[in-house]
Amino acid sequence: MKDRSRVVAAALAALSVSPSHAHHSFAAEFSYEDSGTITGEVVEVLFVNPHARYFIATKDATGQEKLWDAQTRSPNALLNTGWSKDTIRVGERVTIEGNLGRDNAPKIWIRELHKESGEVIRPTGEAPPQ
Amino acid sequence: MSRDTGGWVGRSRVGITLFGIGLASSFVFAAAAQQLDRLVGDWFLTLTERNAVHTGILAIERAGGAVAAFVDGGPASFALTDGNIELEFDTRDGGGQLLRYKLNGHVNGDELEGVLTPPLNAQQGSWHAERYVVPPPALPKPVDFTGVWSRASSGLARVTLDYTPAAQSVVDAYHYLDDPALRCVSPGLVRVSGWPYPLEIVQNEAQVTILYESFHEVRRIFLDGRGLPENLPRRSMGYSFGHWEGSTLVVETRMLTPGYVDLGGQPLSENSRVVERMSLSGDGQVLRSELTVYDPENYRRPITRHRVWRKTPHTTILEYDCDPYPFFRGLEIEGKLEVYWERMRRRQ
Repeated sequence: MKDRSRVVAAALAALSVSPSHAHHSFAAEFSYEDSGTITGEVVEVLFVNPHARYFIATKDATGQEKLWDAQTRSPNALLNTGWSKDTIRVGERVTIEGNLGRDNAPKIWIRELHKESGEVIRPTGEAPPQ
Repeated sequence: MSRDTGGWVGRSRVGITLFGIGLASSFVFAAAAQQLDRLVGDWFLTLTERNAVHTGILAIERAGGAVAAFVDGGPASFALTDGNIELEFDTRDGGGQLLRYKLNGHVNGDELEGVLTPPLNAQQGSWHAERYVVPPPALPKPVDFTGVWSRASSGLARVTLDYTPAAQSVVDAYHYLDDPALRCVSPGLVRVSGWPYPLEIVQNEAQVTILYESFHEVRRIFLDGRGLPENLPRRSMGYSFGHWEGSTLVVETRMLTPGYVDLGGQPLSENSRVVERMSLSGDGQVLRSELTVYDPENYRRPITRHRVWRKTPHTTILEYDCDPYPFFRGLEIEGKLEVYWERMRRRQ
């Protein structure tokens, strides 16, 4: 199973990403056009400024482990949506959908996070689309 | 014969027509020049979008035979055709994406007005502009800024500024990893004042103190007439001195740590000077600051930023819990640590 599916959707880019809450260069680090999904285990939780981060260990088809740097909004912005430091814990298995890092960098800006329980969380606090 | 006559008549008509065009075009030219003269000067711009209102300062100048326009200190493209004003300039979103605003309009009495085309296919809005005049110094009439304030707008965030060659080379060499905020180091007054976190103001007759959640920055704005300290180190928020002009607090800040004024690596020199004009709305619920950066080493004209906060008494100021570890760990995962060390060595 591929740990990364690249979806080029330039036309949707402007609608699909809303990094206006970021305050440093999203544009320099992440692609507006290139979205993807990763599934793996949360190995580190850093609910800190300037952006909350989760390091995620994924495995490719051959069992090779790869670490991903998943980023989202600031802790205080997340707290306003009900997303706290305990929302995602080390050891959990999650699927993250978001904007991929530029130049194939193993990083992803979280737009939607799916927990194993089926719960879906968005950093904007909006309900996920049905 | 008839052809000749016709030819003569024809030529005569052409001649008269050309003469007419000459008269008309010089008249049109004179009219256009007159119209342009009415536009020259500074204007206070208000852009109204569906979900946002932005303000800016539009400067229209004659430069030799040409006309130059600037919005908040950055160049803007400007055209005046048959009374139609076209103005276009760049800005960015919070993540640094380059965007463009397009304004079309006309003169209406003493004002300019028209249609606004915001970036990203957003719904059209409107704009208007009135003559911008800094009020003459008035007797102090202090008002109370005390309270907790949350950001309502940080202004248009012009990207392209009127760079000197020195500043242009800094911008060209900039890499996003050079941003000190990534490693939890304060990016300084100009950027911190626009950060999306709340701040608290406490004040008395001699001092206005601003406590920012962002980077735990604290500013003491002295109103007691003291001067710049000697032999003290520069700092990210500089040293600030204020006085009241009517109910506007005018604050001048110097001794800033050299750094950047925005995400694109637009530089700030150690000789820069920042002037803020802070004022309250009539109902006391909105605080505005028009912040101007004077840094002739880097910019041929001052940069302006418009900060707006709304009073939010129930907001709690939290800790700016920043940890540089994930930034460095992320660089390691990405294989960019070496690039980073190299950038830092170059900074020395």
